[in-house]
Amino acid sequence: MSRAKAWIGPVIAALVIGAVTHVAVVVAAPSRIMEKAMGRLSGDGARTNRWTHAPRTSPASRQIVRPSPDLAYSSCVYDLSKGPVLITAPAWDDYASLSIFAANTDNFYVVNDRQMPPGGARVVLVQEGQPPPKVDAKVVVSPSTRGVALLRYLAPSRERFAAAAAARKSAQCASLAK
Amino acid sequence: MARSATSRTGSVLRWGLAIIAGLVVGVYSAQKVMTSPGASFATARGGIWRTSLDVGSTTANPYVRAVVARRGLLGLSSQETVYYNAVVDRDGQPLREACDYEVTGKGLPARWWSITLYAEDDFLARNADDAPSIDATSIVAGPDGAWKARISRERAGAANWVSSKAAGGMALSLRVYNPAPTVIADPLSVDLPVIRLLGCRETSQ
Repeated sequence: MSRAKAWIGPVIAALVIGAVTHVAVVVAAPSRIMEKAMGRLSGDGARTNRWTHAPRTSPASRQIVRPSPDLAYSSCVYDLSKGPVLITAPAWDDYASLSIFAANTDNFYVVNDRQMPPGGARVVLVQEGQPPPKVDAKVVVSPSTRGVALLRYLAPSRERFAAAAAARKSAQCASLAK
Repeated sequence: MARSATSRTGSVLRWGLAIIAGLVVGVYSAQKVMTSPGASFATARGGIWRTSLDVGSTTANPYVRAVVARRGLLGLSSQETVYYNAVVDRDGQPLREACDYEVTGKGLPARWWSITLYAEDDFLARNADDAPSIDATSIVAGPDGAWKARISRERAGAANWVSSKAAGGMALSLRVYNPAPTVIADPLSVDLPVIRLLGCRETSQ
């Protein structure tokens, strides 16, 4: 075999391996990034199925990229492996939303203050095939076992942030597993 | 014998090299497309602003998904919020802390909007100015709704100011919450704010 010919196979292999690796890294990136974010937001799992209310966004807010300084954020890393999770968002007198993200970053559910019932949003998150519990809440199927629920309350000033911080205190994120 | 051993060694080396090269190029090129400053999840670009309606979307392609995960994790889907990003001024020059800019705009067809300055690392710039953004609730506008804001290290008496102190290379993020259907139909048809360079202070960099 000539020297050049001996390289044909390896070069083709390198190209194929390169392409497959490239695609694999890109496809796996969202879940990998989300997994890390869930770890940060939940204190490595210590705060699962409960809300964590972030302080007012400042240069020190470095858990999630590009936080808005005009919104009050709360996050709940949920885990449905033991059973459904009840998530509630108290009403707010300005823009507010409850959004839920799957482990692959998909925003599969969002409801804002104008779409919420007057008392606020009540959602029970279940896995596919999991029988919904008998609670007075909208049943939402999560495409993944774990994910993140987020509250955004529009609160551009210090005063509004303090008010939002008081309003969100009664928010619930709790496993209904017995 | 000796010759065949040499050729076997050569063959092992070639294949080994091929595998390593493939892996390195695959990982490197993937990181590159996700992290380069130009890496954007934008599928639509106007003069200054870029946007994508695919943020948080369940149908986004793998590249959009990867860059959104890096640059806009936990972003809302476009029915709720449309996110625009600017890294250049109206002349196409990269936004820099060493330069002062004026942003001009009018109200946007949405319930609420804001413009936030992010440093190179996609977090708020590390300064104590408490002026990281302007938003619809606090902008000082004229009777016709038109406003202008200064983006600079100093306020210099501006009614609307976003501090770029300690930002380095920077980006502006425009959030349009509960956009009107026209925004979702064609996000670049909207009269978006314009970023104009006022001047640079090269010596102070």
